[in-house]
Amino acid sequence: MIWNETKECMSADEKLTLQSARLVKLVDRVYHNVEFYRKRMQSVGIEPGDITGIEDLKKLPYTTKNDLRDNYPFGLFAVPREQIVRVHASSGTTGKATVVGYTRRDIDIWAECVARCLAGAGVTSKDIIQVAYGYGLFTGGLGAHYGAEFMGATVVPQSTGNTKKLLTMMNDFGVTAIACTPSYLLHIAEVVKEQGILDELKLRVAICGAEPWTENMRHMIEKELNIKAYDIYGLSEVMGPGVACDCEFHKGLHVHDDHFYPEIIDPETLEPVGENVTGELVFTTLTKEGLPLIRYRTKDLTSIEYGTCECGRTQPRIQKFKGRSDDMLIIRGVNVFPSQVEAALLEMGGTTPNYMMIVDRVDHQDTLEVQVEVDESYFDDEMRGLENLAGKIGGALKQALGLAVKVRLVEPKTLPRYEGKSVHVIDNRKLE
Amino acid sequence: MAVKQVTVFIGNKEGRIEKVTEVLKDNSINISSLSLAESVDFGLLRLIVSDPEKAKDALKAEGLSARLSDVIAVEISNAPGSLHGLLTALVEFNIEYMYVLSSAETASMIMKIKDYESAEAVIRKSGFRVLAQSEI
Repeated sequence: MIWNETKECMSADEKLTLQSARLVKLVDRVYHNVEFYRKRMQSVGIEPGDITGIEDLKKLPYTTKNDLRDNYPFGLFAVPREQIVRVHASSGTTGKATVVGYTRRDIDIWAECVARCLAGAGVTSKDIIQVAYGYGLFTGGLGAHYGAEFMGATVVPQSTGNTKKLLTMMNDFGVTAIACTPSYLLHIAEVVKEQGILDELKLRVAICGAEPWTENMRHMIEKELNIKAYDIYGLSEVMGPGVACDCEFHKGLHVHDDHFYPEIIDPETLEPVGENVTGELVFTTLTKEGLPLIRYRTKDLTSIEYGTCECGRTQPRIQKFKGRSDDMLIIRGVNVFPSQVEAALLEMGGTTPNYMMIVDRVDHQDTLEVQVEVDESYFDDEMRGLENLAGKIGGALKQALGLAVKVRLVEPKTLPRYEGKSVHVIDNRKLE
Repeated sequence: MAVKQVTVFIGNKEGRIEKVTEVLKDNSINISSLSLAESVDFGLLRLIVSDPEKAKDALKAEGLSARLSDVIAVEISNAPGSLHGLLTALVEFNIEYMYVLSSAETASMIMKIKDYESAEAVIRKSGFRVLAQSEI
């Protein structure tokens, strides 16, 4: 089902007109309301009058996560703070979070975008949906929640953490749809198998996102739970979940490009690349009021296919993600930068310990082990001291990353050293 | 009258203890006693050796984490009940860990005790002999 046929199946001409008009207004707005954008544009000699249509977008400078950090917390907001009705936050590259803000209209548009995604997955107002993303500063929980509620479905705000309880409610309530990370759903599938309750469940569809997954994982989920599974994409800087989504033909994620204009650029030369060429995904938020972003570099590597999909939607489709152009990891749906680990270890004091992050997937759940070298200044002759040290490091990392971490203490100079660029991550998860 | 113990951090990998004994052998250091405490991921090797300072420096030079700490060595007779007698004397104290240093005629307990100085006084008052570093 298509939620908003007017927008999702718009003709190329109509779309160009709409996007151009929205871009012109956006540029005018950020130039006059956000000092950062004004200065950026002035530095390359661009004025709002120079932008007359979507084809002029390439004249504008890029925006990055560092720009958000440098203007922490509210420096890039384009409306007075009183008009912001909600903030969310995600991991920054160091101690400070990346903060985003929404006006009431932003929240409404977000809800509609999520509703479009749910409709694309076949969810209707008759469904009862469990939202099993984390609720809170993370956009996953509340984003999916508002979209499902906007659609008129019955929402169970399950959040994460208690699979048994989730399954009890799924069974007792007759839940028909679920929104969660694909790896968590695989874990749920295993528990369902153990309990032998598959035949009792009414679950028929899953909308999974917040981490990259493969066609194989989708097939496995569909087979194990006897449901249909769909991919949903988003990032908090641009909005949250619902920037783009799957349809029943699984030919890429349809971008809601009446609100989010996508480009693919070469991350080295920063020049836009053509259709089906892999590069870094860049978004311009055409309608956002609270935190509009001009040519925001997502660091996600992918390609875009244009043309009408078999489902009838005319939106550009993001193809399979090929990785990141930075070192960000997604672990259990949480964005993690190695620099956060380094900052947390440094903050604990003493000398800089060497560290290595080992990411793995055990029983479909991501695990993170951080190995830290200890020298004689970190321990005494009692085990308790070392165990306390491991506990203290684990606590500090959990606080910094928002993720449970297994800490392994290792001997000094046993972690690998690399010439030049140091490597702090071993990711053993197989995504192909 | 403390005795110096060498404590070495051992990662959970093959050949690590053997590495320690190799370094000590190469430096002609004799091991009088040792104990190994382990957790899932790592261990602590505690050693009483003929030359603790030299042992620590040699181990560190080979990239191992080693440090010195003070322990007490108490002689007990090689007869039933002698350890029990010592522990009865120390019943008020918190013993962190202990292990045996043994020779043909006598045995000694290597002990790490909280509030070490008053413990030593109690041990002496109870008639036990505390060993000096030179006697190891």
